[in-house]
Amino acid sequence: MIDAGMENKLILVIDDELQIRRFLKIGLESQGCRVFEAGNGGDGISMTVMKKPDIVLLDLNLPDMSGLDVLKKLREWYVSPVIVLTVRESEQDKIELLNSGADDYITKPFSMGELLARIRAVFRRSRRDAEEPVFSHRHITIDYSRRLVTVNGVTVKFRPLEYELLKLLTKNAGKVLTQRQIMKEIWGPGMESETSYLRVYIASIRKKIEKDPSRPKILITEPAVGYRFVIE
Amino acid sequence: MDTDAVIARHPAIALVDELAHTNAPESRHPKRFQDVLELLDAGISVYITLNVQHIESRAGTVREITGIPVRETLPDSVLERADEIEIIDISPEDLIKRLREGKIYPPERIEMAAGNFFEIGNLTALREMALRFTAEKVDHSLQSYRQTRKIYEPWKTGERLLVAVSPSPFSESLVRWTRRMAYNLGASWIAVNVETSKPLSVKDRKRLNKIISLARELGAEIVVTRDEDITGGILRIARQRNITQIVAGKPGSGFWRDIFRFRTPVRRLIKESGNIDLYIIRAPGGNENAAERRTGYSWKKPRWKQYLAVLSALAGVAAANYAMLPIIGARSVSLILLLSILIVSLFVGRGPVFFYAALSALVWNFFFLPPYFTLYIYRIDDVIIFIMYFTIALVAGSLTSKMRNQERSAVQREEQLNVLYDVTRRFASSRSIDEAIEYVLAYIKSTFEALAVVYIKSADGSLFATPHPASSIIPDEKDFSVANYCFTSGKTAGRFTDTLPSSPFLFIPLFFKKENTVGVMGIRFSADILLTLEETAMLETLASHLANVIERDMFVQETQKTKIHEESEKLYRVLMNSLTHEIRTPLTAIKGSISTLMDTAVHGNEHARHNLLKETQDAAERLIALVDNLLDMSRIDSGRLSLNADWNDLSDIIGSVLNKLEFLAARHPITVWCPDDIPLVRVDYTLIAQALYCIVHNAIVHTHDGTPVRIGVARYDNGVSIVVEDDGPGLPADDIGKLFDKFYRSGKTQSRMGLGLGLSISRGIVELHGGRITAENKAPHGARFVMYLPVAVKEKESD
Repeated sequence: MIDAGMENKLILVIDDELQIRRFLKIGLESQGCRVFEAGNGGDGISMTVMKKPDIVLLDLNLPDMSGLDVLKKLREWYVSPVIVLTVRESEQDKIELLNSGADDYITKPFSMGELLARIRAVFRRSRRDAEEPVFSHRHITIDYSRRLVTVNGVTVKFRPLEYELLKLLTKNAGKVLTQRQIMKEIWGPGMESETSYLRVYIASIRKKIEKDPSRPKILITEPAVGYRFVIE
Repeated sequence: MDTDAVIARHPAIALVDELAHTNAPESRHPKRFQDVLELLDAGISVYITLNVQHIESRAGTVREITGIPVRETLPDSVLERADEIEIIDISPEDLIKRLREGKIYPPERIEMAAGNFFEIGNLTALREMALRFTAEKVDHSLQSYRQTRKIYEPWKTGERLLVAVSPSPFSESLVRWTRRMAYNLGASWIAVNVETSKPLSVKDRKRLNKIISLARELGAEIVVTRDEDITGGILRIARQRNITQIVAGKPGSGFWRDIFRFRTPVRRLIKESGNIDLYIIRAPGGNENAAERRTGYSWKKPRWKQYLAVLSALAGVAAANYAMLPIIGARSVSLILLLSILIVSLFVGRGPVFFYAALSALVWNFFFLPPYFTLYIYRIDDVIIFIMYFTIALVAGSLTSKMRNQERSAVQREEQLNVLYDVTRRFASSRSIDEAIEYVLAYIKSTFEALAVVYIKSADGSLFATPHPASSIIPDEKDFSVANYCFTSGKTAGRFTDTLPSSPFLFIPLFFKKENTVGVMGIRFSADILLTLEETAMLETLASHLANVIERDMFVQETQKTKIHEESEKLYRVLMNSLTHEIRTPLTAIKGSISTLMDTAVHGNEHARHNLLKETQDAAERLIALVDNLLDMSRIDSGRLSLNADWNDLSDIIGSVLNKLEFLAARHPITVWCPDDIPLVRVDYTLIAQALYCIVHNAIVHTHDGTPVRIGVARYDNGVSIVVEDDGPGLPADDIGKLFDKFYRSGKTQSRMGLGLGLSISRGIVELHGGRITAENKAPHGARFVMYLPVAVKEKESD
């Protein structure tokens, strides 16, 4: 089952562990991608320049420089997605990664399925940037032009801030949004630390869109980092 | 001479010239021989050269012969350590020739030396002395040879000499004499000083200290005792120590002294010494000695006030008696005056009492005895009364003053005893070194008005360079090196001692048993203080008490360390055992499954393939969980885990836990009961989720598939509680107390997976939030865990 969206994508893996690189190469090539490998940060950067990959998978522990530095260097000119492979980094580090331009992160050990889902999500998101007027996923449909949300075919009433929040999350579906990013976006600058509002709104959105709000499947919490609207 | 450098190079043999040399003032030791002793202690053999006139026990004789005082001297005890002495002999003529040739001194000093020391007579005498000294030594070696070969023949057995020393300058030659005597006899000797309650003048005390340290250098054992009766004290020590010979000085004779002091110490010694031999050595220059002696006993403070007081008292008593004379008569007056003498003697010193007695006798004679206003006495009975009167007055005055002295010293001793008692009591009750040190430092401060510092041995056995925080003064680096010397050598160093006396500090090693020095106490006294023997003894006693406390504390710490070490050993074993098990099991599963998968036999069997793959995945999950738990535990244990508290929705936390458990939880009906009015709580999302995860995970894996699990949230006075309960078999009753211990696994769950870390992680996290976690069994069956989180809450409010 080869995903059409993945076919012929150029993927660069920057990781110093040969075993990880091998495993990623096998998994990704089976999906029809072309994979290049770099064993350290310096090689990674120059290969990004030469090959212009569609996505970069970046490990944080590199022998010559930190993955965060590589990320910052890449982001000076490289606009395609970057997914960071972390090993139980602290929440603060994850937030910094996201703020430094990572599109997503995935914690080792991960399964191939998880990784592929993340890759697909970032690709889909970059496609959707071309303003799709309607968002549809599972039982949820959002018509942005009419500010209309339907769950299981039934129109559900959202209060203005709830709707703004949902819109932000769905526009970035698949991606983690940090609490700060959300707060800044919805409540405006200066309110970033008032996260208790956010908790309340997330809880009430869940009640409206989740089948079992006590076990959210769609609007999930990334502990101490932020929220993610899951699309897979 | 750079002693440390020599020790550092550690040669087999060192050649050192001029053993008696005096070092530059700032050196570690004042004398070169002390450096040499250090070399010997370091295991380096030393060849030294020495001129005969520098030998301590000969210095007196050399001065007598040459008339030149010898300043640089070498203790005989040092020379006794020599394995061999070889004489370098040269005839005086040849020596003078060498001097003339400029081989000894630079040209400008040749003439002076030739006129003084290098006289042919002097040189001959010195040569003889050197030859004799060597002969003695040879004789001595012969004796010890005999001794070792058990040749008993002309052997003097068990001689022990005692020399009585006093502050008199004559004591110095007594000490030298005794040392020579003891050496020739091959006997041991002790030097005894008897202290009386009479205070010594500063000068005398200095001289006494010098004499005592001289005796110590010459190899004597020093005994200081306290007795009002000097002769009695000497004899007491002599009997205690089985002394066979006593050496005492004969004071310069003088007519008056012989008349009045018919019971001189020497005479008493002769009379009372019994079977102990006695050597009485003549003192040179007796008059000078007598003069010294007088100053020795002089009162410290001027007593003119006392004299004035007794004068006015006498005037008052005399006037009152004079007024009453017609009624009571002259005889009664004499008795009243006698009584007044006794009363006066209670309040003033001996001098004023004698003064009062003499004066009152004269007053009585002059004013009250007929013929009045003359000093004539007519009647024979009046003469007798006058003489008796005078005698009684003298005896009474002397008795009371003696009594008072004894009383004073008794009080002094009692004070010391009190201090010691207090120290012992406090130290016994003190729980920490700090308390004990503070107490000692406070005592030193109040008694000597001195500042003090305490260094303690560090764990690696060297002296910890930072003084104890209670110290009232911090010495500089130079003084610390003195402290270090004191610590390593176990000897008192610094001021008042032979080692590094230029330091302002006196450092006393802290040890209870000599081989285990646990620290150093340094005291900086004010500029012009002299320590009495009692004070030194007191400080040493304090030091040994303090050492005892420190040692005790170190011992306790050591025991604790050993205990901790043992426990960690045990923990390590348990951990290794379970780790091996926990890692091996999933690895075995992975390896087994994969090797089966690679086998062509199962290629066609899709069901078997799927199951094997699932087994592999399960095993991997288990390994991941194991590593996560270990990491969490080490983070909690290291204390590096900090709360990242924020306002959080508990239902959100529970949701994320259930998501994480999805795979396992599918086999159990899990219900969540979280009312809408549960407020937001200020907690660390990740950590609380982790804690909850462990508990719910436990509930799932320790119950059979299909057992319901309930998660509930409730408010209580201080915050919120999270309850996790299951309808499983419940907790084994005797396990409940140990559930939250690290690496604890219930006996019944031995076969289940896990390191026994989960619940201890949960507890660590809840405690980090200031909360607590409980476990109990519920009716009719099943376990209930409750996390109480006393955290800030915030009502949910939406607009």
